[in-house]
Amino acid sequence: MVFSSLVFLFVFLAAHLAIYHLVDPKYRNLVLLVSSLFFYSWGGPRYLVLLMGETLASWLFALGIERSEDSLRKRLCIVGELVVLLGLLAYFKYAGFLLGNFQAIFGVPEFIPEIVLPIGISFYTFQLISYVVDVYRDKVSAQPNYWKLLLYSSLFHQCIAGPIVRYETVQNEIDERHPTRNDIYYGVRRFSVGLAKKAILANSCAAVADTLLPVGTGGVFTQVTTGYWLGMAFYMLQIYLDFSAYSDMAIGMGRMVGFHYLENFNYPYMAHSVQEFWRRWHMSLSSFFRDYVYIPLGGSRVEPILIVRNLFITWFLTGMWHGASWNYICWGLYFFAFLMLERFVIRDRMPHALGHVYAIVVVYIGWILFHFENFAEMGQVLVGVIGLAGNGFTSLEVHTLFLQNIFLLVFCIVACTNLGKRIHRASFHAAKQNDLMLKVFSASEAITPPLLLLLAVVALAGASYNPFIYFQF
Amino acid sequence: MGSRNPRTDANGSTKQPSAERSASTGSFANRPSVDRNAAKSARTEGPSANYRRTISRRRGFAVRACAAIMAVGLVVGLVFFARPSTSELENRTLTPFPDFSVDDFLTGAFFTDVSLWYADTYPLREPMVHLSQNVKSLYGIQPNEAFYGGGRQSDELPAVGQDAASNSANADGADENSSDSTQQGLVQGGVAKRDKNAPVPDMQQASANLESQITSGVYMTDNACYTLYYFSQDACEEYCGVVNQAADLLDGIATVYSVIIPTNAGVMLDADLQKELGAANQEQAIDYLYSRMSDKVVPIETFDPLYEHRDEYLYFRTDHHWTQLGAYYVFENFCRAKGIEPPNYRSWEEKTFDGFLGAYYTEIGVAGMANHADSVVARIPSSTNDMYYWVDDLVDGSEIQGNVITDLADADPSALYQTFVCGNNALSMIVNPTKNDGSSCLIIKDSFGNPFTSVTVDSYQYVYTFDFRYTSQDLVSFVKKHNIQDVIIENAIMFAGTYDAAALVGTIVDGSNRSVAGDGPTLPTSVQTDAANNGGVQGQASQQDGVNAGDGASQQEQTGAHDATT
Repeated sequence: MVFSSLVFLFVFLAAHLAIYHLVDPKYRNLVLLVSSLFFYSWGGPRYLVLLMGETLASWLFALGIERSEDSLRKRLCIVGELVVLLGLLAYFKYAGFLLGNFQAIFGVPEFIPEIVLPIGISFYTFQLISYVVDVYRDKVSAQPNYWKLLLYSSLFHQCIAGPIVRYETVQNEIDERHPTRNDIYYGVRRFSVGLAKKAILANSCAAVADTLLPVGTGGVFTQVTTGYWLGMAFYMLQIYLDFSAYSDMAIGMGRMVGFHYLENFNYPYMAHSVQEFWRRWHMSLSSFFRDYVYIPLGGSRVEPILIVRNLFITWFLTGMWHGASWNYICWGLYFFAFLMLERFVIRDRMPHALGHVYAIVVVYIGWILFHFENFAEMGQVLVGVIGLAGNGFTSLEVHTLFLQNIFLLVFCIVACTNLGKRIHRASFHAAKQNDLMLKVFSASEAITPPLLLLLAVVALAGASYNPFIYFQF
Repeated sequence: MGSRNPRTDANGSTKQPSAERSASTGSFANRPSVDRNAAKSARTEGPSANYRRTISRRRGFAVRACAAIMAVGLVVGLVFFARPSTSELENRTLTPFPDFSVDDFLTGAFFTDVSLWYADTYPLREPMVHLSQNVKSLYGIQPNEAFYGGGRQSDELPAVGQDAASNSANADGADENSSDSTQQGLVQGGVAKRDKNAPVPDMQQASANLESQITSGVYMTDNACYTLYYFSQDACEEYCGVVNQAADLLDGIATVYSVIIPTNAGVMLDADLQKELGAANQEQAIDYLYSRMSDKVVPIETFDPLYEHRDEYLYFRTDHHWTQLGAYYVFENFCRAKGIEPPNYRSWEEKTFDGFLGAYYTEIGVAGMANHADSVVARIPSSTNDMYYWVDDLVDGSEIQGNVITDLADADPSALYQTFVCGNNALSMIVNPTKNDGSSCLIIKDSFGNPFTSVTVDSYQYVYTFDFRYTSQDLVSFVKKHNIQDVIIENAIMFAGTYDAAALVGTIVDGSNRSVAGDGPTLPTSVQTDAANNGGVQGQASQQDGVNAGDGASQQEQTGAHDATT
């Protein structure tokens, strides 16, 4: 089930929240669990077995680690966990890719079976791995109750599309949640902001991006230079607004019931270097790779050549996590190259403003690598954005789309900055001093969530178009 | 206001946290602590308490409002009987509730379809769609001159009559040319043979592809839209091959006419502008298509009659279709070619339906077009306004009675084009009671054929139509069974020049892969007063309808009654 859909909003979420608040508080976790399992089954009941099975394995291994005395047993459990979970992930997500590459080099096997990717496997696999590793590292205590662990791994707020929530963030809140009135308000507000961001802004950007750069149709090869620029600009906006909206909705829904998930995005397009970008983009993923891959390899506390190795492995895997296709790996390594450049060459010498321009350009080009799985199309767009595609500079179609979406474009760019947040905070403080501001501010507090919710519903009804880029993850 | 704050008691003095309480307990004479109390009460009771309360109340309102919206949404969504099954705005049937199968259930496909059904048929959807289109107009500025759906390129138009092989061989040598042509299996005249083993086109997909032709390559100016045409040599060859095959199969049985209609851009826009936009010259394209047809096909000149009258209301501004007037001019030309008198169109009873907002408005959604709506002018044939049509043309007795021109004065503004022959139906039949010469024609048409069909009614005793997308009929057996004299294959050029159209028409022509059970449905007998005198076609028709033979008399009475009132 996609969050930004009428059936999710008006059937699932409405019913779920009603039941959640009507039952006796001691049944609330049960309601969450049952709802989450139902929600997951919507995408395919047969994959629910996989989710429950992997959770069972993680539950057993974690308990095994905690209860065993000798380090060999502990080690066996952690290895077992990694083998099972990563093995299953490799099978479902990467087997086709690996076999395809093998076939390309060696000619065998002839027939590559098509394996359907279970929804959310990339997210919940990482959540479970982080849980067991944290138990191994004594950071958290193992959850003795299987159902509570299953609640953690399957919770519909973040199971399908992140953020990747660490067990330590929610371990206490699983048992004790006391959402304050503020929590509920901010949760509702965050959710409606995310929903509107997705249904209105992200989907509209997607429509323009896909009109200008229709993947897989050959239309990519006949586009004019300004079409490439504008198309990729809208894609860059789309992917941020889309993904951050999903995180907004997850965090909002969590807060409504008393969970406090960590932020996943911090206005990444405001970064002044590639390093800073990755401290602001998909933070739950980059911190996962930092804590569970980079640091165990030695991180930055080793000699330079090994730092390079560690970075290489980390970014190779980061790219690969995004998809079983070479372009994602290229994307990851592309950032590896720039991170190395910044670490070893540029260091701190980049002036602030120039750094911002540089970061945007690097990220922009990076999205071209990310967007096109087909290397011919990718190459065409790369050539196109530097003006060498040979189809002309501009066209009436691009001109039309640009004018028709110019306010949207400006609004989305502003939405990528923290301007909105700053205005909100300033109004919050101004309202304390000034009665008129108080009226204005409190009115906006009252109106914003329901208004955004209504606008989003209208947008969803009007659109048959609702892709989620990270969906089959 | 003051006493509502839980932290104050009725007197307005504060209940302090225990640490402070111990500091301030003491005699009431201890002024500083009373002042401290006062200060505290000022803080919690004064402006900042007011501030917290106001914010808190407003926030509570927001949460309750959202909850109310969710509750309303939930309830409305449960009102199953209010769910629509078709969308007039989008001119399509909406997603039905999916059938359950264990397989679909396990893979989640069932649920995906349920989500789609839920959203597609949500009771308040249409007003929300209208609203969202208005919101979209806020995204930017609508330029006066706009272009939609670009990225298409036109093949170069070869000279009239030049075949595919020689056109593409300009770069190759002459020897390669001839070997190429034998390899492609070209028959005389350079028209490629259709690959009979090609997979059956998925009807739905082909229809969808054709629909998308309407908005890929649309030029807009002054709130009027024009669909451009992009020439594809191979696709045109395919189409001509199909038409030629029809003529071959019907040689000596019926005359096959080809009517290829230019789009609004072709007639209304300057040739230079079309060239600038990368589109092909439609006059030349139509001439080329006709030149690739065999001698057995009678091509009807469409461009000139339309171009001559281009100052008149020939095409809609908000819809890709032509008007009945445009259709009349082409039919007039057809009559000239056939050698019959054109009907007295201008004397027919006229109906006008205003406020038409067609496909361009719906699919491109430019709000400004709403102020420049079209009018659908429909003239009713003098002979009859009755017709039969089939949605599923294999089911006996499923014919629906309708009107050639339906009164749509109260219909949705986007549906007004449906006035012509009840829209696009698999099969339809119009009987002209004022004629009994057995003259008949079959029009294999797309949606442009609707007004065209309506102007043919006076000129034949029987007019049949197949919609090339929806019919299950087999051309040759139908023609033979109903003694049809003229077969008119009509397509707008944006459809004719596509593989999908060629494939769809092809399956009608060669009868392949059509799920025809027997000879199609039994057509209703509609008998005129002079039926008994008419030995030919009429007699055959009533013999076939064995089941209805007994009803012949009563039907005659009914029809007689009809004639009286028409």
